[in-house]
Amino acid sequence: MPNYRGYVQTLVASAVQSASGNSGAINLGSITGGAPDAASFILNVTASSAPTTLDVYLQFSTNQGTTWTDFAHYTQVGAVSTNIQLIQWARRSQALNVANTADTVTGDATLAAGVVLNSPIVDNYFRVRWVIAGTSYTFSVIGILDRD
Amino acid sequence: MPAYRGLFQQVLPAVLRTTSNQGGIINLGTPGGPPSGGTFALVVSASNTPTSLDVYIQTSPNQGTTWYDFIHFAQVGAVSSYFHAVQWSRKGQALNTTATGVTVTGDAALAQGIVLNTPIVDSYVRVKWVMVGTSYTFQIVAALDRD
Repeated sequence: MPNYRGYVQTLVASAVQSASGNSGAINLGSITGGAPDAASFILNVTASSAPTTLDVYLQFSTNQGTTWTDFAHYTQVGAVSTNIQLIQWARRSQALNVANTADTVTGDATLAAGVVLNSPIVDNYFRVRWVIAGTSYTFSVIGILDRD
Repeated sequence: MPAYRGLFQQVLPAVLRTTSNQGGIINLGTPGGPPSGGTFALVVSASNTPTSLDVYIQTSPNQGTTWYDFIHFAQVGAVSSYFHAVQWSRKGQALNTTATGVTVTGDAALAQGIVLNTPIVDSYVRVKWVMVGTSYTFQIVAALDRD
């Protein structure tokens, strides 16, 4: 498969989200040439209405979408109208998320906030999941992907 | 594309600047292709009644509509000369903050002294600066590697 750098993939288009939900299954890196080695995942919150909290997870599935596992969890967004966060992820070679351990509690919307697992995922079963408390948040998630 | 080592690129020319602004869009690594890593040097060579200078290097995933910082040099104070280099790599380096890969960023929002060692859109890179004081003369140069 070809290599690429700086490929932009929209994972969640900017929209008002008034309930918890998910993006549906996405094949990460599919259009350009296969599974990425590393990515910047950017969460951009541009508006909100009576917000309380927003938790956004990046997940993959090992059984074609039956169950989902978090591999990244943005820092919780609070009662704000704008917020931008960038997640650094790589399949390997980056620092562990917690010093001196590679063993992390995860699951479906259970990974601790602010944690990224720099580890292989199932790229053709990737999704974004969000959990909202409050009336609504307007946000997008995009990926900037590399494959070497 | 071929690999290269130590490709020099002037990211922002040496000019006396009197207001906050941003440079033009550059294609990082041209003509050799997107780099794997780079050393970016901020060189301040003169100033006039300076107070502070914040310099960011940014990337855009939507052809320049929005910009996100991936480098913010340590703030330059009331000095007339300054030379700082930052190390950036697409991956494989230490995270910017111990025990987290999640960082607040935005357009001139990244904390000073932080580098995000992560993929960028190489064809949409620019420098943004926020200055207080009469003027600073500065430039940014890069030495790039591609594996």
